[in-house]
Amino acid sequence: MSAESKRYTEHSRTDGLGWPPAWLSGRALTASLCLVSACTCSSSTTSSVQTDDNDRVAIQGGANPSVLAVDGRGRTKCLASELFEGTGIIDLNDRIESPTGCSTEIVAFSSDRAVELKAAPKWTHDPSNPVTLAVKPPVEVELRFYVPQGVPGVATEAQDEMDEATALYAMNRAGIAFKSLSTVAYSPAQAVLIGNGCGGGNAAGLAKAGASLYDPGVINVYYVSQINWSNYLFGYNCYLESIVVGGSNAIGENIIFLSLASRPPTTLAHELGHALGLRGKVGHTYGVPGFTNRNLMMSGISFNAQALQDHFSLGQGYRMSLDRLSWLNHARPSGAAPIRAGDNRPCQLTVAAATGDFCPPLALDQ
Amino acid sequence: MTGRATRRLVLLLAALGVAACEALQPAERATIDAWLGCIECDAHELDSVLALAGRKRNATVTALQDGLLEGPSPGQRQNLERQLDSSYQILVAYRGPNGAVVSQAEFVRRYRDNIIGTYRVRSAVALAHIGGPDVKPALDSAAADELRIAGDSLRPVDLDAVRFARDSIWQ
Repeated sequence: MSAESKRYTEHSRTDGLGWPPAWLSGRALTASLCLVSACTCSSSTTSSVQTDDNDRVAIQGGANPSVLAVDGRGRTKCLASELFEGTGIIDLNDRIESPTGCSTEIVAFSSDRAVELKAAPKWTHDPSNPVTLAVKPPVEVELRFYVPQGVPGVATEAQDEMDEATALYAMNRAGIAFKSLSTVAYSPAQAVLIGNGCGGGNAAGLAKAGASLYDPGVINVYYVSQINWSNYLFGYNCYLESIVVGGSNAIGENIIFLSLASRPPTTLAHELGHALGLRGKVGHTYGVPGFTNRNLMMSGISFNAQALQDHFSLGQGYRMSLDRLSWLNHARPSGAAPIRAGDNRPCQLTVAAATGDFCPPLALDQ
Repeated sequence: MTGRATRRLVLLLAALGVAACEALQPAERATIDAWLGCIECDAHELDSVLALAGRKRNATVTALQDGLLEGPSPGQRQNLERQLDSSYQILVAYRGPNGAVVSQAEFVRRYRDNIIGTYRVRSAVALAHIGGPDVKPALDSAAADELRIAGDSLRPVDLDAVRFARDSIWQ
């Protein structure tokens, strides 16, 4: 199946070639020559014009439309994160030249498949032999919930919030689904061990509390009466805290606290974003150019300006799935293999694309 | 104009000027909102409110007293409920026709109560940190579950938090 592809944006890095300039290449050159000579010509072929060189990407395995972010050699410059959308075989028109001097990769985003990276694709320039990209089902991330004994309904609420998170990640083509295989109902005595937040060695204590209160192979979500006694936070991810698991140093990125009395329905989706690498300068998006109040990593929005928070950018989705910082892409604290197989990227903790950064700007989106 | 009238006019203009200076500008109101709505509150949101109170104490205290005793405005509550309705629809669409989902009313109530309760509790926390005799009446009133809107009341968990804040006032 073939589909009309659509180019949305062009983020370019100059590569020092400088010549010929874009306005003097391809169809622009043809049009200019036509104007000068008052000739009648089509834009199809002249000896000096490069036509569609048949760069196509065949998406295999996905039923829904995909958005491709493509890096590669353009006519006059390196193209970075140029976006195309389509289903089946997506035609990139004549955007990609031989991949010399520019890094090249293809990343596919879709609502029903994992984010898929094809590093260094071999462009064939042959319509009968497109670059293939097999997309797999969303990466499943296991959560384990801890809810207080004797408080009815919390386990159901946790399930609701997990499914809400999965739906939001799918809507935004983030390629990640959440599942929970077990829920622990903790006793009042265990509540003391769980505590009320990350700091003061609490996360480190949890990591040593034993299998009944912490599983190093999953993301542990603790529903507690309140977080940091006097501040009444909605939720917190302990990624800033050092923990020790099985004698190895780690960080508490897989420890999340949610407040029973304060959280809205999207706090779990937000805290999972931190677990998946949206941290520090690429964590919260308040005041970051390119983001609106709908973004799920926005915090502290005025009640007058609040909108439904239901959005992740493609740049955020890229990092959550492909950044080595993400929970998906590094070995578990227990030493077990990462959840996600395949290539990943060492993204820099900067919002804008930085020199040498493999990763697109955080705000990259359609 | 007599001398007395001139003096009155000058005093009136001075009073109006003071009131105008004291009123919160939109960016200053946003400072309070950032505290009332933050998720992890790790960007010094409360410190910023306290700094604002250092510059515009009366206006900041008034805004926080309103937040404690009234909660979000009716318009803000309507906006909040619209958002929660939309969140519910996302969950229903995800679960599909055969998926069991809590009722919409229950879903909205669950999270609306959380958000409004936290809005009030954080107002109380900020007032307690600001301290001084002028913040105590509002905290005492809320601690007795005496709010401005008829029929309005705090959840037990919020009442406990407000009482804790009231008992922690910086003198």
